[in-house]
Amino acid sequence: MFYQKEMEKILRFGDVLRGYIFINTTIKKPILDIPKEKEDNYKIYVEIPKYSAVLTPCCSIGEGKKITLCPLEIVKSDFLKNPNWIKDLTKINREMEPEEALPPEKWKDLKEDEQKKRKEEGRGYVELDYFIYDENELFDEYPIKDKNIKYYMIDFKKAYSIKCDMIKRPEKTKPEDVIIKSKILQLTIEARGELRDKIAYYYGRVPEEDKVLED
Amino acid sequence: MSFSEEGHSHESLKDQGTGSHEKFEDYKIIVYPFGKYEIKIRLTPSNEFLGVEEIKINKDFLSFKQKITKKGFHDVSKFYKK
Repeated sequence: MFYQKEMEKILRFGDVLRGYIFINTTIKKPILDIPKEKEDNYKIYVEIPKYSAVLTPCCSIGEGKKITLCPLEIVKSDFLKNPNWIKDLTKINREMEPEEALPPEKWKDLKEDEQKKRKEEGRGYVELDYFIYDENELFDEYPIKDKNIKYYMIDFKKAYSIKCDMIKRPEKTKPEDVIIKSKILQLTIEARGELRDKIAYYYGRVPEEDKVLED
Repeated sequence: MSFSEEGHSHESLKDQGTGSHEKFEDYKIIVYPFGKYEIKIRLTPSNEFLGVEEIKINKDFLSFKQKITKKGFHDVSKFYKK
């Protein structure tokens, strides 16, 4: 089971919320000096995603009245090309055998050496930036590759922080708080563990060049 | 003659395994962690050393960094671009 049947009346890591803004910012180049004239160097877009996921660890929620969120977005249509994943896209959240990571015809197309190399890796994560949220009746359905689905995903690269005076420590949060009304889904302990494991792996990777220095 | 008088009392039967009449050894085995090894030691019931049963690698000796670098991931992003 991916979502908790009975939600707690506090915010938890991985919760799905409604009603938060997402700031999408772009710059043409770093602003190293204060520009003398008006310069069109940056753009700020404010979006209201339908759903957002809480990425602050449970134990840190409420500190500084800030919370880290990540917008839920529709999944990549290419994910549906892999028949190993199509029945349950949340497989992308867990480690898998190298053969499962590719559509069978793509696996067959790999050279023997490449297959061997990948098999030697053993089980591993795929699509490290992404975590899939399972389908749920509370989610809006959308069409993708001639199907209607209710899967959503978060992209760890899009995590951002937002401040709201209503965000409090769990012991100070009341069930009637508007913040709690904005919560629509809570992950089960197992699913929350999968999110924690994958995001920890995402941030915990040691680059090859640093590994050499450590030895 | 009663059942217990025939030698079938609880005291006379308690150490006999059903069917096998197995003889139970009078020792216990404890696992002692030592650095990156786990040593199984045989002791008497009063904790006197009898011998070493087994030495094996403690699989938890890896640091978190070593654990995560040990795990691989499959770079398949070029197959799932959009």
